[in-house]
Amino acid sequence: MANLFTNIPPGLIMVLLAMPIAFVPHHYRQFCLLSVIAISAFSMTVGSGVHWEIEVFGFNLILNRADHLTLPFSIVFHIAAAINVIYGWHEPKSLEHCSGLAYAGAAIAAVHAGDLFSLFIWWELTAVTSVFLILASGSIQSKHSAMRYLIIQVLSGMFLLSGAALLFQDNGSLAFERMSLDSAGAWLVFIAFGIKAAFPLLNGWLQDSYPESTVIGTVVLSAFTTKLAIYALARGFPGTDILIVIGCIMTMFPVFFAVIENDMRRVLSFSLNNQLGFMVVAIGVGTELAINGAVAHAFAHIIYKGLLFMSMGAVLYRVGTIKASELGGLYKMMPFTCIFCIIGAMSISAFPLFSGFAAKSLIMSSLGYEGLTFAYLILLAASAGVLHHSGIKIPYFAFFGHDGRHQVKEAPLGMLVAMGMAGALCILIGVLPSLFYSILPYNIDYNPYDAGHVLAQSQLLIFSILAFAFLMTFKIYPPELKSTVLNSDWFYRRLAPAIGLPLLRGIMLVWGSFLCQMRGFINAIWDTLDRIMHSPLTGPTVSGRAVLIQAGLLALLLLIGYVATG
Amino acid sequence: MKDDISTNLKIMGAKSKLVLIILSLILLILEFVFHRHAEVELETIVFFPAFYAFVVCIAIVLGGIVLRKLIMRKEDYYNNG
Repeated sequence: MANLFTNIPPGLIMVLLAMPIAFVPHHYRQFCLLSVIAISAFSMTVGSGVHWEIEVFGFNLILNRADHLTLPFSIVFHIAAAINVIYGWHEPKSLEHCSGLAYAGAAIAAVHAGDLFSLFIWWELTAVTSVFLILASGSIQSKHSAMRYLIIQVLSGMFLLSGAALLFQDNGSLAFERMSLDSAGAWLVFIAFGIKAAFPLLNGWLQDSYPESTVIGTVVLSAFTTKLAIYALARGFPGTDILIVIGCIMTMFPVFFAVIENDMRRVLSFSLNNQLGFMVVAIGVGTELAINGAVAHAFAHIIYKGLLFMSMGAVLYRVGTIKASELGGLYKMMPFTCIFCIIGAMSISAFPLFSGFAAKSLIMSSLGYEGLTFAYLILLAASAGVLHHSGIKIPYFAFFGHDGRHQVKEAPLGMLVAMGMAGALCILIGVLPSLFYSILPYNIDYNPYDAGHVLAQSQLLIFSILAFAFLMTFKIYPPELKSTVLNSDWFYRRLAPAIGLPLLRGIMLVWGSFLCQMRGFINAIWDTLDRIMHSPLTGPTVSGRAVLIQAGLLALLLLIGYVATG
Repeated sequence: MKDDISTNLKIMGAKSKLVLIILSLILLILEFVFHRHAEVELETIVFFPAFYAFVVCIAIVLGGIVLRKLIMRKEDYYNNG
């Protein structure tokens, strides 16, 4: 019996039971969800190794592989799934809960996939299950956004499958191990991971769809897809130099967008993108310290980004809007949400004693040790930028800023408990980094808390805040305006239709006139034949086209007969 | 109640700025009290993180203002057409 639970990949049971749980009444359902997550987490206790391997049509599929890299991702995915259930306790409808459970389960199972084909199955399942979280919003915009999201995610899966097929052709193996970018197959897999990891110009889906989801849905979405891609990159492409460049662009590029974006959940989506950049750079560096940094950052990030999305979700739930231009002054009405939001903000900004500091220090040190000064300076600038748009902008415009003249209650209990748990984890990781480091892939001896390091980080942070205060005081900071900020999704939402539709119309026009010409040509031939049939130069008249065709076929048969008999 | 919030926000803002300035000064002074950590050569320059953060943050916001002119559209940009 114990084998049954431990050998099946963690997450599988979450996927299988998501549908039946939908029929359980509301409060019992939440307990069921937590129980299923606990049972799934039990499968992690089996330890490292390949625990389930099957052969299908001659292919060796590894359905459950656990090692030092899967463990931290599996742990944090389970934690996130459980916190999300508590956060959504107030919601009686089952759609978000059950699709959220299946989605989390698929992501966890994907982490444990030891071959590219199993990975592909779970990869696609994360897309299919999570799209319901966007659809649950019920608006026309969310419906359109959900379809775009699904197309892009499935496309990523197609790249993965084609890459896997080419790699199988080259190596005769589907095993998901370290790859190098020297074959078409590896490149296709790399692009598949890049789409889900929201690489520059492939990132449009993230900022398009996450903010369109429901209060609970956005929190759930923020945890899994992109971090699954980070896991996949850490597994498949550690030490790939190009990732350093891609990651640097990822850290800086979204910062500017976040500054001018008005929708707070979209600001967080840009900042999510920027945080992924840190992880991608670290994977590109590829040393043991850097990989530890990437994994630590992914772990801490899931919790503090979830916390920030939860706090903004609570604001949206109570106020009914999440536009910075319409918010402000909520600190008195939602004091706990405000405190939790500030904890999340301090964590993402990497204040000492908060989780971001424990995680980001590893990445920054790994860059310093490798002498990558330019990347280091970019990431240092991005760190200041993160503080600006996530650390200050989010709590400032929601809870302080100006009086938004809203009269609202504090968030529901379930939301507060979930935020409290996430906040406690952020502080626990920050205060006890050695405990946190013990679950990372490699054993390292690293202490982020030497006085000199804390001073450097404090200077960076406090002077970033000072710059914000300076800009606000002198009214240089751009005011929050109701607006749409164009992003890379513009290429397929506007440019492609703008060029593609006239092009398509042009092609259809040419094709239509070609068909018309052809039709005229054929008619002309028939007319000529009709004339010949009705008034031949010699012999009998032919009574109709059918007779002519029959006569023609007979003549052809005769000809073939003559040729065949010689 | 509503006016209270506005007044409180103003008072909090003023107090925060004061605390911020004091904190900044303390951090600058601390630079001379003990050795500040530096990962790369450039960071050994005196007050580097403080200066770099301040300049970068201003640059980001100015960049944002320029970007706003280029890529900001009406709220219903994608919905109307």
